[in-house]
Amino acid sequence: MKLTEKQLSQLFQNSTQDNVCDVAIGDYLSKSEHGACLEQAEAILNDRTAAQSAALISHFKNWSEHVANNIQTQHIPLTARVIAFCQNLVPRSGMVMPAMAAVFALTAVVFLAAQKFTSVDQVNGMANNDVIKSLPFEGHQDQNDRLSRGGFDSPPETDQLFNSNFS
Amino acid sequence: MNKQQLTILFQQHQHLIDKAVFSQQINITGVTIDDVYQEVSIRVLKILNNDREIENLASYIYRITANVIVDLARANSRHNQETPLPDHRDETDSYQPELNSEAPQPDSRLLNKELQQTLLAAIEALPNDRRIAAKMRLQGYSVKEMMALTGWPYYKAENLSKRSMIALKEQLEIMGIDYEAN
Repeated sequence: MKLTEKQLSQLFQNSTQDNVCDVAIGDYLSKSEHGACLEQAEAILNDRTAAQSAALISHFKNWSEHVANNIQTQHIPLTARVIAFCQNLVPRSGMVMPAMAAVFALTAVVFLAAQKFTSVDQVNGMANNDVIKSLPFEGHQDQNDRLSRGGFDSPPETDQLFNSNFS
Repeated sequence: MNKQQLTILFQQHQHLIDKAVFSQQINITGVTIDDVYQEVSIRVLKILNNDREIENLASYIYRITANVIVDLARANSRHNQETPLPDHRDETDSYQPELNSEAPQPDSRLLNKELQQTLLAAIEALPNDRRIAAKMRLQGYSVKEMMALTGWPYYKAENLSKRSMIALKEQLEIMGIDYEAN
């Protein structure tokens, strides 16, 4: 009698169809990398459902790690993530801290310098638009005294309130 | 995080398990990847909502997934065993078996039973590592899956996978069965 590997495989799988092993497959597979207990491995192989499940489960290891990383990233608040990021940077290179200090100092200088220039512009702007300050204190009064010609002292004929009465 | 977001997250990493999901070797009838996602998301959400401190979330999710797959596979296996097959129908049933039915005849069943016993005896006669390797190969395991189950390094798993089948062939020949190696 001649059999193929597929037929042998079917015969063996059928013979293990009704067996039920009591090994916790998840616990076993998570420890098996660090030294498996071959007795437990054989018990799993003697139970077709457990053997097929274990084969499938072994592929979920990387998947679980990626999913867990994403869940943890989404659960941590932003401030904690920034702190963790900075803490991760520190031990990697001795140059990081001086570089960060230099960047901080440079940013501070640029910021302060920008503040100073803005305040000078604001003072100049106010001075340019100030009518009182722009007028000369000396000179011909008729030509230069714009305040006196502002219309505050208009003749009484044009003041309707002044001319009207209540009777 | 809600169930839908978690399922989307699972799907984003599905490329890591596509090889297993679409494998022809792994045969767990009645268990779909959607069933696994559904159950795993429910159990993971329970943990996240409890605000319980978990030391190793990846390992926790891995074990939850393993339990879900085993539970679904066992439930499906029980269901198949409990569902009556055409052979078990009572006489009042109008079902008539086809003349050229492919159901195994009693003599071929007996032959299969004898073959099974011979095969199991041949496997049990192998040394420890080769016996386990032969069982993994006959259950359809790839080398990577063998490594995961036994913790063997790649070359050991690959080597034992081949040598175990050669040893099984020799053992079967002694018992009067010729096996054509792949």
